[in-house]
Amino acid sequence: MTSRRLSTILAGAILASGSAAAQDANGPELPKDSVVPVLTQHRKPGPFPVLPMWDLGWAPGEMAYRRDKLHPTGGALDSVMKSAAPVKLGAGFSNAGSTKEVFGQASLRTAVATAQATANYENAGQYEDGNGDEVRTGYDRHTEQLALALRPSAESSLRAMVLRDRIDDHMLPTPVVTVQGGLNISEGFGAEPIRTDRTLGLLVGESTRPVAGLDRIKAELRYLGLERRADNFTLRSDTPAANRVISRPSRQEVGPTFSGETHLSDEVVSRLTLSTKRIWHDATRYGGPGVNNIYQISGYQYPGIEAWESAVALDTAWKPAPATNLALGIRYDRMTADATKADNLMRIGNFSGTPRSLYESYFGPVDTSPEADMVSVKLDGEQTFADDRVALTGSVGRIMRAPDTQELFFALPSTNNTVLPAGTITRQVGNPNLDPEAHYRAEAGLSVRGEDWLDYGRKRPGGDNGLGSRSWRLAVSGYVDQVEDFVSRDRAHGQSGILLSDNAFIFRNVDARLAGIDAEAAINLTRNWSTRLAVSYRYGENTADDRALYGIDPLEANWLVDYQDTLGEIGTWNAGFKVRAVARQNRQDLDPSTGSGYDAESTGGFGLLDLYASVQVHDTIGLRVGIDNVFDKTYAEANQHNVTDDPNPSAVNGPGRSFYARAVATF
Amino acid sequence: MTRLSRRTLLSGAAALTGLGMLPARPGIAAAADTLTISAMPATPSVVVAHLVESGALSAHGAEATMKVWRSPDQMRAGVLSGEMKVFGTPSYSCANMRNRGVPVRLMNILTWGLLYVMTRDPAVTKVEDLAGKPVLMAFRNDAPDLIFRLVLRKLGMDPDKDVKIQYLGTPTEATQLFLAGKADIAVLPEPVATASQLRGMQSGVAVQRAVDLTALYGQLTNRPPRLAQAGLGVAEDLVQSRPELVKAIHEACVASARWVMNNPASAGRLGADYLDMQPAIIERSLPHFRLGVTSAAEARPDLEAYFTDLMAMSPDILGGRMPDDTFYWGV
Repeated sequence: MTSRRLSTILAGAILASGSAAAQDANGPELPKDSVVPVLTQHRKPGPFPVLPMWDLGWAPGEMAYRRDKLHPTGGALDSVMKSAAPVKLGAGFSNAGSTKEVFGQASLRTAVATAQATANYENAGQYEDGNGDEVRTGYDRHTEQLALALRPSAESSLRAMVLRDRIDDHMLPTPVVTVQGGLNISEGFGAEPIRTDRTLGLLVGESTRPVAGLDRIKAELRYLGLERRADNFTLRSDTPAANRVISRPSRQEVGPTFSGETHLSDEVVSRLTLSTKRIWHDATRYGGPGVNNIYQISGYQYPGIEAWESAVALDTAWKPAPATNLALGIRYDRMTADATKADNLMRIGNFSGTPRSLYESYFGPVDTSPEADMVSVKLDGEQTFADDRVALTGSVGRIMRAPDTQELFFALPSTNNTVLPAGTITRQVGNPNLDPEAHYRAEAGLSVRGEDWLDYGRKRPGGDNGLGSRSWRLAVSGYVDQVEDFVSRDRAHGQSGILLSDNAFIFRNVDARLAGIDAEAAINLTRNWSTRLAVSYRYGENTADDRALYGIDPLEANWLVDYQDTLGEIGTWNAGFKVRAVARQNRQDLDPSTGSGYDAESTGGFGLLDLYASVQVHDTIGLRVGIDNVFDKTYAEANQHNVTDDPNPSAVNGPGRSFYARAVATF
Repeated sequence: MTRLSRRTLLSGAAALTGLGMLPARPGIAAAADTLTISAMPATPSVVVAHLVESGALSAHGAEATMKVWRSPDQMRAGVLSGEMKVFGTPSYSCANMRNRGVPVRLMNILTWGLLYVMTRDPAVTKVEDLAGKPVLMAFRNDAPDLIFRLVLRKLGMDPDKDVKIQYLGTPTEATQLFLAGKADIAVLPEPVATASQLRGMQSGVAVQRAVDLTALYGQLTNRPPRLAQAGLGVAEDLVQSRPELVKAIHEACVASARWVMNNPASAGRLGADYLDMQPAIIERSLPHFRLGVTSAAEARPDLEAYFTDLMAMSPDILGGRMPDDTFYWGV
């Protein structure tokens, strides 16, 4: 017998899960996305993000005017939402704007197929800031998503996802005329997005059956559609008829991506990715200040743009030693674009011209069918020590970005008057002559964790408690990015290559330097008590014009203290607080008479205290309550989330003290 | 028995130690009263993890910690050396050690049957459907093999002729070959059975639970659908020196088992910290583990029936005889 070989039936499960993990950790691993990242416009405005649909560690709804870099976790609600139950429902309410949120998710999973349906509804209104003043804001939103996955065999899968997001009646603060740099300028949001309708579609097929020397092949088809209507009268009924304006932006993107992966050796794996995307982007503006005709074309935000963006990327991962990972990415991008309405007439006030004539008046002869060929390369490295408890990371690269359709082709003229607030200072003029940005970027990071660290709020059992706890983690990372031909928002001041000096809003290439550092320290003092401090600093300089770059976040620190009890017989609970401290941003581009004036003047640094607590019963029902901004402070973010392309957004105060509650249930 | 206070007990123990009449007790630090429970590397040990985390023994002056033994040989060596005073064990293994002279008792049963016939073939729904087919199984002549053979015999099937049992070294190997399609049927214990279903889902392989061998075993033996399969063992000297502590451990197991069954997702996360197992596997395997804390004395009829059937298949599995009366700890 087997008295010496006692049953290890129960230990087999550990071996099963452990051996799988060991196999994955042995060989080189390519990152899920390309080594060379795809960059976007600095501080580009846009609608609320589509995903995630909800954040259980936060008050319900989207908050454009409070932008914490760190949110608490969902606490006890996480264990409800992460349970295996197929149906999950949730609701939330906040007295900041009487915000309501309801969501649901249903999943069906078999061995060969998975289906998941998700829906979310939000409604928010005006809230009071710390002074008790009403802030004009609010929206109505609903989002639905359907995801399907088929696994016809162990080696292949087919996934499909469709998501629709609609935001209606999104109210924004109305503009006011101010004097900045001696100029009369309208500050605020000239139009409100009455309807924003987005549709995303994704179809992915993947196979790990070796074919033609490839270990893995993947084919993907993506679609993105955006339809919007914005005006200044549907929700602002007091707008005089003579000044009413409406625009209807529309954007569609569709394109395939193909990739194939092969192991060149036991230590080296490579992936070749081919992608292309066809873009249609069109937006016509009708009416405007003094036009008195809502059917008159007064501008083209996007004059019938048709573009192609294509790329070939080669990523290679090399694992020369068990604790060393290297990844090299090389990518060639080609962009072609054509403004098919560049010669269409637009009239407003005493301006009459075409997008082409508008561009040429500021930049000289332009090619409204620009092309760009770009090569980017990046090298990432990671070295771990001490059983992976110490990790050193580094990265160097040259990453290029083509100007986007807004930067190239925006054509919103105004009356030819440099004095009126509705004069040339309100113009927004794209620049088809822009060169691509070239980012020369270096990053480095170091993280160290104690031997009892699992995650924030998770301490390995045993070990010392209190300040002697070995469940801690320290991390610091930083980057420097020297950018040639940075595409900068600016105003026409007769700079080199700019033919006019009328303070119109333009885009031009400058050189810039960006840098940042993030540091975090976390410790689980016991299995119940945890605390975490995260500090973030950003720097940006327009080195061509020797001034601060707009849209740079100020120094920010977030400190969390959490208590959790996961052992109660009927369930678990947690409570905590968060202190957020934001410094005054002293480096801003404020003056439209010398710079872009895109930054709204900082109202100063601020500190906020939030309290929260959650409880859940039997992993089936959970409740969370919280008080944000306990001391009812008045504050405004240096960089809020702007949902429209206004050239001079105003600072908007965040909510004052507010209460919220969330509930979730599973079935 | 007179309830002893902690102070009285410690005073007495110290006095006896000073007189050289009581040997030093490894596994319990006399000054700090730290009790280490050496748990099985399996889902039911989440019960012990909760017991430890909740400080359930603090009223008895003991600070409990939990360690997980990695192999049966490690557990056996720890028990023999006296290092492991309270340990997770299959019931028959504890009886085997007892019958070979190791001073241990079985404290309780935590799990009442966790063996399943898993299949990739939807046509296989009962044991009779296994006729002529290859069946993957780990550990020849261990309890799972014996239970499976017993069931086959009860159904009039010859395990050596009517079914092509292929023995592997470990349940892991059996699972890997099963999912790779080397055979459509495997006899797997929890949580490996649940893990095979989850891994099968990831790779497009539909894995079904064809037969609950515990339920079928009960049906065929005219007994309830349960097997007194595994629980906690305890060193005899701890029972003698700290009977109230042993009782408290058992009662804490009862309370912690209630928490585990009421909070499966939280139990999964807690278990993941101790057992190096994915939370989802723990959570999903719990309903199939027949978790139920019963003292060995209360479970004695079930234990003896189980041992009798095992010995009928393999006389030496318990060391040649049934354990004596004192083997079964009770309140």
